[in-house]
Amino acid sequence: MQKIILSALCTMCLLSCNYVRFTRHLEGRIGDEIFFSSGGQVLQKYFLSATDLVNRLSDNINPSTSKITNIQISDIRMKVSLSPGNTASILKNINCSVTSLKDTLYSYNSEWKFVESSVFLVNAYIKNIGLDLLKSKIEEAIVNKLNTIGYLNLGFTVPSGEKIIGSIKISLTVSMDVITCEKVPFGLGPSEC
Amino acid sequence: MKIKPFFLACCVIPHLYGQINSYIGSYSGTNKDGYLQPVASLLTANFNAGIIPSSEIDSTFHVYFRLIGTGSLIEGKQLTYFNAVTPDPFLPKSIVQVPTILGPRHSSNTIGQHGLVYTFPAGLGLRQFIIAFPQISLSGIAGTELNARFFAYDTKGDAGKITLVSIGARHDIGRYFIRNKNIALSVGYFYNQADVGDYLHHTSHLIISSIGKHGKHWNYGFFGGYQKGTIHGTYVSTDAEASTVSYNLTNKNPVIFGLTAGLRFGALYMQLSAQGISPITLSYGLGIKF
Repeated sequence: MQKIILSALCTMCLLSCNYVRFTRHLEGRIGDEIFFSSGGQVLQKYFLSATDLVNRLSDNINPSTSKITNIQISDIRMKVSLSPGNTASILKNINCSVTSLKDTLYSYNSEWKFVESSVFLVNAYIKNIGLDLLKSKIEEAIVNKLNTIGYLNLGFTVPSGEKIIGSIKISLTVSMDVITCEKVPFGLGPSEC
Repeated sequence: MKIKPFFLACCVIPHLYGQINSYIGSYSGTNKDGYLQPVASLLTANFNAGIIPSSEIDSTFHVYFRLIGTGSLIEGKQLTYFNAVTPDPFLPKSIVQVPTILGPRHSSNTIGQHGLVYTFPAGLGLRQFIIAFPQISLSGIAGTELNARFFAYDTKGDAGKITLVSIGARHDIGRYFIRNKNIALSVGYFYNQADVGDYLHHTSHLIISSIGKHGKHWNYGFFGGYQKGTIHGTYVSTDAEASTVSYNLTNKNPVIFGLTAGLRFGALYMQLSAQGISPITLSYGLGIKF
């Protein structure tokens, strides 16, 4: 009798051991933070590392059986952290480009009053050409498991007579879909991969 | 000893790669509730399925051990889609119908300012959900039947301890006013509790009434009831916040109706049941009665 029961239920279990294709979603932030002690016109390179995203990927998903698609950027922001001795309260003519100075990522010709708001969301000032270039570089880095995505050139003007002393961080929220083939515990669907 | 791994294969043991976070933690904000809510309805429906061993309640004392398999087809927008809102600071703010965790395996992109895109995660694309567990019933105690389910296993991994406890009782109230001994009218109450580490704690209550007819080798009946189930737990989100998130959700399928039919060959019993409304859940019980 026990054999009959076990056979019936083993059949049920065997039917349920399948490999299913999932579309997993991961989101992370990439960016860099640089300390300034500058006045006048400033130009600085920000290096973008893919390490955090790649680590996040391998923390959650088996990278050897996955395919990355739909890499997107949903927001870009700057954040200032002021240090003692800072005399600046605004930044003007903010311009950020990808790799070369001509591929503008965002451009803001007005004033960022960072003493009122330490975070500057630049979404409204993004240029498509720079965004597309940045996305392609992120995709290239992640797919090829490179440590470095590339760099951004940040330029701005500090009003004369003032000096910014503190760090400015640029961060981008990046998401991606990852197609995986995974073993599932039950009969959650027929084998697909 | 051979039975233990067999039960493990049947019950909710994650063979899945990596942390459970990566399966349930797509959202950290308000969208998490809509994304995970169908799990509450699905688990409540399945833990309350197959809980009636037979439409009859024995008049003499019996011990009935059986294994139950329950399963739901995951269909319908109520289980597979929810209305999500684009999170701050993404603009323009919009409400989009996107997959739940049980929904289809395609993400949904919303176009924002100047080429920015917010992606709502895909669901797991599950077409069916099947679980199995053992149940023991003691019947024929003054027209009452006592039922219990128990399962426990320490995965020693990310899922932590997995436990299932279920207790309940039915009483044959038909014995007081129905003269036909082949017809049984019963009322009952069942309580289920299931835990998967810190990720998922499920509790459900079921009040159920059934009426059925039985012969020497068969039985059939109809049942209806009210069920309330909740799930709560914590996870670390896989979005950019990577924050620890708590959730607490209730099932949206409180009313159940169903049909049940069974056969008996000596000590071997088989029972097949179907119940709804959402999701449609089938259960199959196979056991021996002493």
